[in-house]
Amino acid sequence: MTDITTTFDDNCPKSIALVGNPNCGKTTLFNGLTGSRYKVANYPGVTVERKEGSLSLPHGSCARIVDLPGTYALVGSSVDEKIVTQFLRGELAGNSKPDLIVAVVDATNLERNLFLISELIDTGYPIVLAINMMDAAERAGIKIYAELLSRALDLPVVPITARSKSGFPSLLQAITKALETPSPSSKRLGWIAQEHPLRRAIEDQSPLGPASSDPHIITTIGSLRYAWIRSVVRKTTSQSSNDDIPVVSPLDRLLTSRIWGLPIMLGIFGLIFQAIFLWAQLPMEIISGAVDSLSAWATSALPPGILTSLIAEGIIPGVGNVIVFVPQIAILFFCIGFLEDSGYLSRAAFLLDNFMRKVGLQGRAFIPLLSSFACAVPGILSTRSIPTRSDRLATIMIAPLMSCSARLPVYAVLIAAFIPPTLVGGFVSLQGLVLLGMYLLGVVGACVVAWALKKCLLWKESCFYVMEMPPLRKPILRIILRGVYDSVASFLKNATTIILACSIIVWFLASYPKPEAGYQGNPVQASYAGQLGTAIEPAIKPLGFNWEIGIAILSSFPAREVFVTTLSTIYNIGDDDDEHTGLVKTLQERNQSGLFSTLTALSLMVFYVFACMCMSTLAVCKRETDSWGWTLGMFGYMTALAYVASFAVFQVGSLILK
Amino acid sequence: MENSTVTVIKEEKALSSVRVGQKAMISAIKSCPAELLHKLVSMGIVAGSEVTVTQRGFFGSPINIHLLGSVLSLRSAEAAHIQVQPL
Repeated sequence: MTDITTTFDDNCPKSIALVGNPNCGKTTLFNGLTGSRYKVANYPGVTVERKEGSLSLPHGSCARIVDLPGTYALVGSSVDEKIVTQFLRGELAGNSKPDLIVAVVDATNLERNLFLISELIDTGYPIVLAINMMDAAERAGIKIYAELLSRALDLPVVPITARSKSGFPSLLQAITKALETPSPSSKRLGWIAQEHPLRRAIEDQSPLGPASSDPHIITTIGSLRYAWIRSVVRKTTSQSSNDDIPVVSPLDRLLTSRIWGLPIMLGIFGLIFQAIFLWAQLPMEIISGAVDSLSAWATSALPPGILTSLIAEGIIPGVGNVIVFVPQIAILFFCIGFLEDSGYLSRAAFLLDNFMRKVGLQGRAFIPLLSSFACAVPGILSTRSIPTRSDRLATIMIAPLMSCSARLPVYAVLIAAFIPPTLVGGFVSLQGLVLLGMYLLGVVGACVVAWALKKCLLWKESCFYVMEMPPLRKPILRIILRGVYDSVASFLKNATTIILACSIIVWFLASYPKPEAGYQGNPVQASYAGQLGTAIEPAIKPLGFNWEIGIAILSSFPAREVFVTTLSTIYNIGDDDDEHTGLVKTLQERNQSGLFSTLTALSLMVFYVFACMCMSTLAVCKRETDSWGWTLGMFGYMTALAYVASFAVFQVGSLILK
Repeated sequence: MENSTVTVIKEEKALSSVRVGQKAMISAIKSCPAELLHKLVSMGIVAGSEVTVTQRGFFGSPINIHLLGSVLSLRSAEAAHIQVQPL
């Protein structure tokens, strides 16, 4: 959601629009040209945000450049694709018409990519055409004669490879020239045969005008454009025979096979969850040890007083207990980034489409939902690639049910404290299984909610699933690591702002008013927080929660991970001795003394699976649905679901344990 | 299918019923909502294009086809609109 504001306005009066198919390397080119850092994906439709940067040109001048969402045509049906058309029409608020279009095409997929170019040419905009992925084309035995193509299309054509930044100087030169002496593309309707019987009707169709709904016109225009493209491609490229390279590689065939596809997919996701617990253990222990000693050092080094108490008992354990989860979040994002950049996620969407359709969604909803495992905010944003409104709304409504990385700290602490680290069958950790169980519970809940939504609330609309499978390829480490860095950075930014603020507030509420002299109980119970927790205790008692958990839940409504912070603050302050033990140890001691049962921990985890405790999610939901009804509906149904599910777990569990 | 030409043209069928590995030429797109039609056409599904069915999911859907140098994935319900002649 970073919005690069146009601070270069005065110096850079000209603006450039970057247009191309999904997956043509447009975003990589954008990053390379502007030097800014953005996410690059290997999946059609991930680029949904408006990205603007500044491009420095030779001779010291510069231009603004906007990365438009990937689209196959100017009559696109998804939100993303419509943005492109509106932008080029100059209809988007705050965006004037661009001075130049830099169109990007994938050299290995020239014919399909040129369809959009043939429409762009009709708009009359000046265009510079960048043919990307020349290295891949060369490997595939495709030769493109840029000179000839330039003459056939009557446009400047520059071959480039965005991933290795080759061809950039020529591209910058072509851009500069086109900005200085703009030549509007003039081949309008060059693809229509003079004598075509439908010529009049077709000429009435403007590429930026309303889309035709006459099937005859649509198919005729499409066929004519493709016939023209084929003739251009035949004249300007050559392809050495590559019959020995199979269309679908054996690995691809295995990953999407009916027999092995699903087991492999489950294996991959299972491995990720195991990795989150096993590999992250060591770095987490190091961080948590450091936080403990820092807190102890602060207590001893600073003069005793309110400020020391705030720092040593409020801020350090509060923020520290959240930072501990950086290794796990980094591993999760590394895995998702790896799968995304390698093209595997599209295979997963293929395998899951049937199932997704059963609950009323489509395979395409899989990416937003998977992103929501990291964070519901990018997940909800990426639903823009779903063309039908009802599918999109249903996906937005269930996205926060996917267990996001902010829940991980909650699960992690509770699992580490209450689930024994035994190995099931000798090699599968029970802790990892419980974690996987929580994630699955969210998924099952999401399926039920989606199904109910589509059945009861959302009218039946025609919806379709047509997408391009990106080729499987070796992921680029740099791109994955950039994704990891981005998410860890935003997590830490959260930890140092919202969570810092919450820890100070919680510390204050838990520390004041000080109990009167001679007070026997836990000093926290007498504080404001304790009073608040005690007040709501009757409502949460049937879920197995006491007033301490009540405070933690209330304080974590703005952001879930605050739960961990609050608990550690409460327990730190409540401790009579000055020894700062880790939160996990404290919880284990409470478990042994019967203050915090394993069943309560399970009920609490289930509560966190379903509850909507995230201000950012609600904010982005309001923005994307543009409706308070859906936003409040999301908050309401999730809170209700959390209460009912927790209630069921605790009550049924109590009955069984009796 | 009425056909008055002399050359023997194999019977047309829906893309959704083409088996994996079969090559076919698209002959028409039928009774298809305009929005979907725009999408199909823009991705290269026009009369005269050659396609090869490469993979099919459980119960035959989704269906992956190789077309214009890359693989497209669509549901069998959508592929049912596309008439092809097996080659």
